[in-house]
Amino acid sequence: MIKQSAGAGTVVGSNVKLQGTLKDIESIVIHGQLEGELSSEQSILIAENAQVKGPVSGEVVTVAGTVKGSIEAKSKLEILPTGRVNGSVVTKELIVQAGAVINGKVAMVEGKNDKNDLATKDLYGLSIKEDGKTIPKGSQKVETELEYELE
Amino acid sequence: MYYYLFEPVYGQTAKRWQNRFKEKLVNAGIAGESVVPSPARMIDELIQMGLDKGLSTTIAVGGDLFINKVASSLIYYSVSRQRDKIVLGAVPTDSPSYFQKYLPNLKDELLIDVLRARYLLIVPTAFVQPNKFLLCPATISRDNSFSCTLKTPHYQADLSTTLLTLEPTGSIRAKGVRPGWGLRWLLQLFTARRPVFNGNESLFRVDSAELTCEEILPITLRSEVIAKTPIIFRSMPGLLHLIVDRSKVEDEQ
Repeated sequence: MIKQSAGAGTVVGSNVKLQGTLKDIESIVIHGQLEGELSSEQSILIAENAQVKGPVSGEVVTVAGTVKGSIEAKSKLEILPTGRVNGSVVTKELIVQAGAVINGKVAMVEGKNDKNDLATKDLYGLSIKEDGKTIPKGSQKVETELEYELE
Repeated sequence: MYYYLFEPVYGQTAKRWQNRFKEKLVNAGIAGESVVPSPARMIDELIQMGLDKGLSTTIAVGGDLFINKVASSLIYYSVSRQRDKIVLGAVPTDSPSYFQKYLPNLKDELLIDVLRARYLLIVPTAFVQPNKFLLCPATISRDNSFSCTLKTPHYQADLSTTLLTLEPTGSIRAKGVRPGWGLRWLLQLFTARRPVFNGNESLFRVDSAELTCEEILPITLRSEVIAKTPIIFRSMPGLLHLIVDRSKVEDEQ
C-alpha cells in the first residue's frame, strides 16, 4: 500500500474514470483510471491498480500502476515493483525497483534540468550511461528496451 | 455602522442569551441596528434594506447555516449593486462551528473584541447555481452509493460515491464505499503509524465544474436543502471580507 501524506492537490480515487487533461500546480495522486494528459508542477503518484493512458509530466513521478504513454520527470522517476510503463521515459534520475517493467526508450538528462536541454536533444542521439560507459552521441541510434524482473 | 441580523430562536434560554449579547454590544460601543428575520421579512429583504441604508458591515449572529444564508444573500445583492467591498462579521452559536477556523474562541466578550477590532480577511467562497454562495461546505449524500459525472473545461470524471462535499475553496471531495471489514483493513487500523489512504476517496480542485448525478439529489448545508443536482459549481475567491481574529490575519501574512 502506498502511503500518501495529507495535502495532495488532486486525488483521483480508485472508483473514478477520468478523461481529458488533468493539470495541477500541486501534487497529483491517481488510484483510478485516467485517459489523457497528466501534468503536475510537483509530484505525481500513480498507485498500484491505477491505469494511465497518456503522457505524464511532473517534477517527481512515482509509478506503482500501469502507464501507457510517455513519462517526463524533471527530477526523478521511480518505478516500483508493481509498476508497468509502456512508453518513452525522460528523466534526470531513474530508479527501477526489482519487478518493475519498462517497455520503451529511456533518456537520461544530465546536469541542469533545463527545458532547452530536452528540446535540443534527440532521443535517438542522447548519450546514455550504461555500466559506467558512455555511448557516444550520434554514433548509432539508441533504442534501449529495459526489462527488469524479480531476481 | 454595524447591521446585526439575529437568527430567530425559540426557547427562553436562547432569547435571554440574545438579549444579554445585545447589552454587551451596547456596552462595547458597537451596538448598531439589530433585526430578526421573520416570515414577513426574510433575510433577502433585510439585507437589501441594510444596503439601501448604506450600512457598511453586516453581522450574522446564529448557527453556521444562518451565517451562510446571510453571507449568500449579502454577496448576491452587493454584487448586483456593484459594491466593491463586501464585509461580513459572524457570531457563531453552533458548537462546534465551521467558523472556528477564523474565530478560534467563541466566548461572547472575545467575539465582541474581534468585531470591534475589525481585522478583515478575504475568505474563500463558492457559487452554486442559480443563486447560492457557499461559505461553509455543502454535501450530497446517500446511504447507497450513487454515480455522478464531474465536467470541467479540461476533463470529465465519472465516479461513484456515497458522500460528495462541495467546499468553498472550490474543492470537491468524494468519499467512496468503505472497503469491507476484512482482516487486512482491521490490521491496518492497529499497525499503520500514519493514516493510510485507501484509494476510495477523491479530491478535485476546480475553478468551475458541472455536476450531474444519476438522479436528482439534494445538496444540503447543515441538513437544509439549498439546491438540487444538476448544478454548476464555481469557485469565486476574493468576494467576501470576513471579520476575523487578529491571529488569523497574521497567519495569512
